[in-house]
Amino acid sequence: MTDEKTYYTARKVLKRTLAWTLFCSLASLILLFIPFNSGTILDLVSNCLVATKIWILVILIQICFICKSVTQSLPSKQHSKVGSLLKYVAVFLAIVPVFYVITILFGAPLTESRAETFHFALLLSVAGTFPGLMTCGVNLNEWSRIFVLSSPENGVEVVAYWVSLCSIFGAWLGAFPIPLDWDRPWQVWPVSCVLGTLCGYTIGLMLSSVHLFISYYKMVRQKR
Amino acid sequence: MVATMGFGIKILGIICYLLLFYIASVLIFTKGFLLKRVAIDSNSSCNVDFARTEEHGETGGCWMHATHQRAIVVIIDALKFEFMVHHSDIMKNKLSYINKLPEIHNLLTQKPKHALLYKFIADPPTTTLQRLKGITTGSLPTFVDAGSNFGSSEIAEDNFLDQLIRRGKKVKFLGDDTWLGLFPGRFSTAFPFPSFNVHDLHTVDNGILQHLYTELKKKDWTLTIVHFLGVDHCGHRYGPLHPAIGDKLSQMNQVIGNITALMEKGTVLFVLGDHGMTATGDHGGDSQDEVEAGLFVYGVDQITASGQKHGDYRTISQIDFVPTISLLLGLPIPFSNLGQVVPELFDHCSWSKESHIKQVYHRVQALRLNALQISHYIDSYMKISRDLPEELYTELQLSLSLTEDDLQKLVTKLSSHAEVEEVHLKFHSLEKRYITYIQSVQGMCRDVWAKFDLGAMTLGILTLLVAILLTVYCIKISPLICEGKFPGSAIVVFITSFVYIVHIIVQVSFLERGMVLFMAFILGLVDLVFLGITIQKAQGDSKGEELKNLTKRSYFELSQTFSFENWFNLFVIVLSMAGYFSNSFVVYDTSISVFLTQTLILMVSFKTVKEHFRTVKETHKEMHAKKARTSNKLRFSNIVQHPVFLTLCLTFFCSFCICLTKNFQACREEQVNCINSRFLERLVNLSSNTGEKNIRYFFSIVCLCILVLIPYLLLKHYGNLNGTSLPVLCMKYAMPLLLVCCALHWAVQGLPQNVLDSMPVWQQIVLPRIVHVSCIFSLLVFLIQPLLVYILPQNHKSLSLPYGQSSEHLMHTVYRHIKVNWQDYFSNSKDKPPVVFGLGTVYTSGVLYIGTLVSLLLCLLLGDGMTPSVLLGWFSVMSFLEIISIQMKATQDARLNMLSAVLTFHLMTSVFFYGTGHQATIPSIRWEAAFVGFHGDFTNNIVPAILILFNTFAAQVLFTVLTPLILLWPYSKGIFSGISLNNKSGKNETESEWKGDFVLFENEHKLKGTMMELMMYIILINELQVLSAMCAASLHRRHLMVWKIFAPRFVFQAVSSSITFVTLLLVYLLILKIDSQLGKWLTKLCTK
Repeated sequence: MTDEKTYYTARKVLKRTLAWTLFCSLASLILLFIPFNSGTILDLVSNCLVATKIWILVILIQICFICKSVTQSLPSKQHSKVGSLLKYVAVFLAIVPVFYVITILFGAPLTESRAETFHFALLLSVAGTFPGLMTCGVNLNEWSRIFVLSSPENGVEVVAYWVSLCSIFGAWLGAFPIPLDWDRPWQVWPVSCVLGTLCGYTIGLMLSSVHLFISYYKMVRQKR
Repeated sequence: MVATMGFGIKILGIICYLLLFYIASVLIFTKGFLLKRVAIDSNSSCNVDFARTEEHGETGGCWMHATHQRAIVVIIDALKFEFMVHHSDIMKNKLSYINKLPEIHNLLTQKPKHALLYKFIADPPTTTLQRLKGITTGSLPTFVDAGSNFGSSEIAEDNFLDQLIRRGKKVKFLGDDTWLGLFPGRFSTAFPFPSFNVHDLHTVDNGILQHLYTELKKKDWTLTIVHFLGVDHCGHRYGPLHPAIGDKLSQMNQVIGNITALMEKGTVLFVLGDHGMTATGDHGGDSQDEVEAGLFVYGVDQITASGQKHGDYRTISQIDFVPTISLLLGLPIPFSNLGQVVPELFDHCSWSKESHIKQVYHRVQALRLNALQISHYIDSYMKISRDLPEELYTELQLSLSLTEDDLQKLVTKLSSHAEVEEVHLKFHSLEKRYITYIQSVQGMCRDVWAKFDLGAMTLGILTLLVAILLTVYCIKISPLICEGKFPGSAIVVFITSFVYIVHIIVQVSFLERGMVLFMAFILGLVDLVFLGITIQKAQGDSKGEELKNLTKRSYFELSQTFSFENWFNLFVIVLSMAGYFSNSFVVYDTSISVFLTQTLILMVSFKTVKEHFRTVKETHKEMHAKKARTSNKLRFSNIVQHPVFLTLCLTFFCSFCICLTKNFQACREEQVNCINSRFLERLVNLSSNTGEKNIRYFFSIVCLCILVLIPYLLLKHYGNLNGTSLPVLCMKYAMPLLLVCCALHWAVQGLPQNVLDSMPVWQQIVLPRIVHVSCIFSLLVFLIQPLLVYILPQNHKSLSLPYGQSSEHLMHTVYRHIKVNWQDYFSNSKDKPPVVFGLGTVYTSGVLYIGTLVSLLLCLLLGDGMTPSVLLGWFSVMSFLEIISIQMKATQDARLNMLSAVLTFHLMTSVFFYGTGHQATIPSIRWEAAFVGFHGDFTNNIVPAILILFNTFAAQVLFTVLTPLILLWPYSKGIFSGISLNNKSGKNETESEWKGDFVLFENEHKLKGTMMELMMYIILINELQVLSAMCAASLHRRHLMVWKIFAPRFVFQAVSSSITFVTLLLVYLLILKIDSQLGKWLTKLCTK
């Protein structure tokens, strides 16, 4: 009976996560490409800083929703809310400078366009570490299990794993068009990297929904 | 021991065999790709035996009498023939550039015997600099004009400007400042304007116009050169169809009108374009649109007798301009000219009556001088170089001398007033023969100099592909070789590749092209396919074998081959290879190599962390009880000694060092917004008022001290610096001496130039000479005695060392020593085993010793500014080695992922190539390195060449010397990996069990086998880089930037790889030497 119940809860969680992830990935896809080169406030090329800020918010909300969908249906996992929130904020504040320094080390300009670099670091830490922070908090062992040994459990951890990985990889790939002599406005630092991060983020969401779908499918078939 | 030696030599043989392929491929490719021409710096003089020498009457001039006293050359950049010709077609009138130069059309129609228009065909590459060389020297363009001044863009060959100046005439110049780079200090008056900003249409032209007319009126010149850039910039910016180009051309039309109005008697005007433009307004290639420029000639006096039919414009080559203007102004034709005079400009003679025969005779005369000059040039060229085909050359020379004879006979007959039938026909046939001769010579030279040999290029690429596959095969069989076995397929591979390489070498050096070349291709392809199959099979074999004896190790290897890390490494290699195909990636390779290196360092450290967590997880279950007790406590020392923490710190430090190299980079001219590093400035040029000079000098000295101190302390730490053997003394005393000499030399170099010049020569060179000599001395000493070990005398107690050290220090040294306690070596020795210092780092110490020597020498050559960069190199290498040591420690017995380590090293090498102030361009070679320790009086070119190579490829030399440390360092227990906590706490290594890299000696084949694998990986990566550089160069051989970007990139990559290989072989030999010496030493120790 309990087996049956846990199975159904797990299935429900999976289903919910899958739905939310799919929805979020579609939403980011639309948000990313419709305003491209339109000159509106969401356009990364002309309004890089503002658009990055909005995107950071979007990612925060999306990740919160995805994670929230699980915590709602899982009443057993509970945290002391204020304490953990403070902890998260502290960790997050520590991570942003780390990303900033890494960006500089990889060749971002040191003295010029500091605001852009900072926004990029902020976005990268939001897309790259916030999902992890939401799923495993400040537990180092959990982090190493998911990210270093790459064995995330089904559910939100899969989302966190793929989103972080793909965002960072996207940011990395985004640097490659910068030296090309095409003279396009999106080649200017950090537009292409921000674009890369966001594309990576979207692709990560898609990949995780595929991953979740496959495991859901397996789960259903196993039961039968 | 003999067997071991033989094994080492065998590996050496394999590597040399691979390098043979590499060298052959690079040479074959170079032969086909780099167009070479030897620049002869002789000048034509008036005194030649084939022309009149004395100045002639009022007109002056030698070789021929000058028909004009002054010339104005107006160069309108990118003036296409289309722009100049008049179209009566009304439909075409709509195009913005049509009929915008009516002045030319008016002159052509109104004064047909004063004005001529030609289609003016440029030789590709159609870039301004190359074209200006052609227009002034009359030579064909090539990549390497090997001559006396290789470094600057100054023209070395004879040209009509120099001819004028040599005869005391004045040359004026207005316009594009490229001219000043080509002819520095030649112009009596010059108004240069920068040509860089393509978006600026008017600055250069308006600047010229501001001065042009006043300068022309002054009459203090013989030749005025005006170079307008507006049309070209307009084309680049808007393209030829934009109305702006019409406006610009109208402005030019006005200029031409004004100049012709100002011209006086005896003046001739040339209006010419240096190249055309494509439909998009660009140029550089060899398409019809780009090469078709126009030439307009106008004289106040009559310039031709024959005239021109409207719309029937002859086509001439751009280099034809050179002999024409030379003879018109009464100058000798420049020595290395290959152009042919425009005959119709010579058939009018102002002081004799018009007669058809006279006209033809004049033409023949000009052509004859031209032909003789070319023959003279080809003669002297053949003496220097064997580029040109011998047979064709003799044939041509014979035909010329026959023509000469016929002309002589005809002229003698005419002067003796004998009746000759149909004189003008004979002259016409002579004229044709001269023209044929000149054109055949031109054709011959063009074939040799201006054409890529696609066959040779493909053959080179094919050979390199075979070499790469061979290397991959060797890597595949290296685990077998490690165990001392050679698989059977090796013999077959060897035979097939041997047949191929012999065929290739014979083909290229002895045979003509044709069917046999085809054979070579077939052979190469067969080889490729065969090697591919063999590699697949070898992989299957080793897999099968591994599966058979499923030990833990081989299983790990198997999983490693297909790990994420290896795929990522491959991805990075492919990315860096793809970068060669894009000009902007080549230009910004400085930043890209930093980016990729940082990525790889992060990956390696991530791997380290991962391995650590994996082992923690594995041991977690066993140690559960123990761990629960200890691990939850967060103590400071625990954190500091935690491997993950150490790895992160080291990674940051390493990345930071890599990042700092940006301060030492030089700029390429293509990099916009780039400022040359202050460290590249010579010390003399820094101002001492602001203290910058002193700060820089002392900073360099401090860096140099640290540079020497690091290896010294390391060696001391390992106990390699005990005893009084010669290398130890060298390390202790010669290195500080070197340091002091180096520092003093820089101080001397920092003196103001006049003080420096007043010093005797020996004083200037004695200090660097001391460094050179003592470096070589230390090296020789080390080669004689390559073991930095010390046996504690038996009769002493192990704690009473004979040289006075503080007891504290002594304990430290003894702590690090190594006991050799093997039964089979010491079965007959006394009860107590001998105590040997430094045996645990016997290989490492050797590499460190040589590394120190090499880096000191490099510092001297690179100059004081670059010393901090060399230090950064050491820092990053050391921290990287520590990271992989920690990784090795975490994975215990598993093997190191060689590919990622070697790849990181390779990328670091390129980072530091740029980080020592170099770029892959010829102007950025730092020639002053040739004068460190020498005063410029070289009898041969070998010494300066070596010094310059060492300077340019300092990073390659240094990093290759340090490469064996990838293998050795994990064994010799670095500083940080030593203190990092041992998480497999069940098995605590005690000091006496630590054997250091001496374990490599225990296993007969392990050292050489892994060393071979290491070298193979280095060779493979380098070969892949060269391959992509080759492919990029041949793919872009007609690219606008090929001679500025792709060809230098290929040359630098090929040379850098060659230097890496040579250094690698030397280092390998050194390790073999240490190994054999160690064997001898041990047997001696046993028998004692």
